[in-house]
Amino acid sequence: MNTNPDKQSLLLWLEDELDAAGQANIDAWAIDQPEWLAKRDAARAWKKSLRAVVPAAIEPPYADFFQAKLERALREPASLAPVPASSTIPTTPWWKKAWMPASVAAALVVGFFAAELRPETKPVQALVIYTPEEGVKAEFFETSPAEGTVIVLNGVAAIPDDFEVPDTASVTPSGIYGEPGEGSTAPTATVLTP
Amino acid sequence: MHRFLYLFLSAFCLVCPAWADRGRDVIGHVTVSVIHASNDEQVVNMKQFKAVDEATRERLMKDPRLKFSHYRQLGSDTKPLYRSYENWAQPLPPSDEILLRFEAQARPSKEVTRLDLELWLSRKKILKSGAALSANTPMFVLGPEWRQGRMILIISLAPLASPVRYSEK
Repeated sequence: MNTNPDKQSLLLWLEDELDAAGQANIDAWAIDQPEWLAKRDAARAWKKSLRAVVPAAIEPPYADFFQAKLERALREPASLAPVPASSTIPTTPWWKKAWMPASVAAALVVGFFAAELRPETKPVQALVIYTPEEGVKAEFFETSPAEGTVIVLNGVAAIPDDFEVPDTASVTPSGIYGEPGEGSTAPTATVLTP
Repeated sequence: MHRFLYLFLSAFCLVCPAWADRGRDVIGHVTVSVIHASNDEQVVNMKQFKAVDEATRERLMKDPRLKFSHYRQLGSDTKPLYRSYENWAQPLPPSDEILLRFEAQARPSKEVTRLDLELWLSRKKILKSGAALSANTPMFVLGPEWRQGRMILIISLAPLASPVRYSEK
């Protein structure tokens, strides 16, 4: 055989993977190809040494883990039958079961008292004066000799003189203090004195 | 044990509403007094009103803006200051000629209580202001004219040592 084999056939020949006819054809061609014969011998030697170390087949490490267990369970259906809960469920102590509602209750109590004790953190704000009525002006005086703050309203419409102040606590009942509001014996209204 | 916990939670939730509406706790009292101040008083028109006490008169006369010859108290109203709700003072009841709307701006401290104030005259909002009041430092508002004089509103505060719970009232 004088025709050169293709590369794929050569690689299969090196691995002894060709069928008998193909192997024989390339064997005939390789008689004059000592380098290819050397390559095939080296490949055969490597495969031989590899087989000496690694077995041809390896069993899975836990062969009975899945299938065998399922098969065993099918063979023993009685083992899956339901049993009374009292005999299988272990009794957990109450304090282990109650931790969640107890923690919720504790969080509620702690949250409530935390809100109660929260310090006032509102920043001090500047006073704002606003007069919505047109023509009304307000002057603000933060300090006053009268020991207080003073706002003077200008431009406010006067209250009509015929407006009668109703009978309030400030009005002296007639007949009790004599002529009300007159003279040094007239009663006085306590305004700022506690 | 579960029953005990559910009972506790139920009791907590039942008690909560009394605590929840803390906005109605009374944290102080606001007093609004209306004073008629004049230099030319016509006794016929004003004799039915009490003159203010001497201490208040001296205090008012210290400030030139508030200085008048005669001071008469027309009316006064004291209303609770709620933690988060507004309230209205009506110093000349049942007339709504003068009304003061107020609400707390912050939790009162020992030194000062900050309020939002609105002064309504003849059913119109005339003034909106903040106020920093304490027990001894009122706010004086020199207001409208009436009968040869002017009205002075004295807004004072009497904070409580501790809030009064709405549920305790």
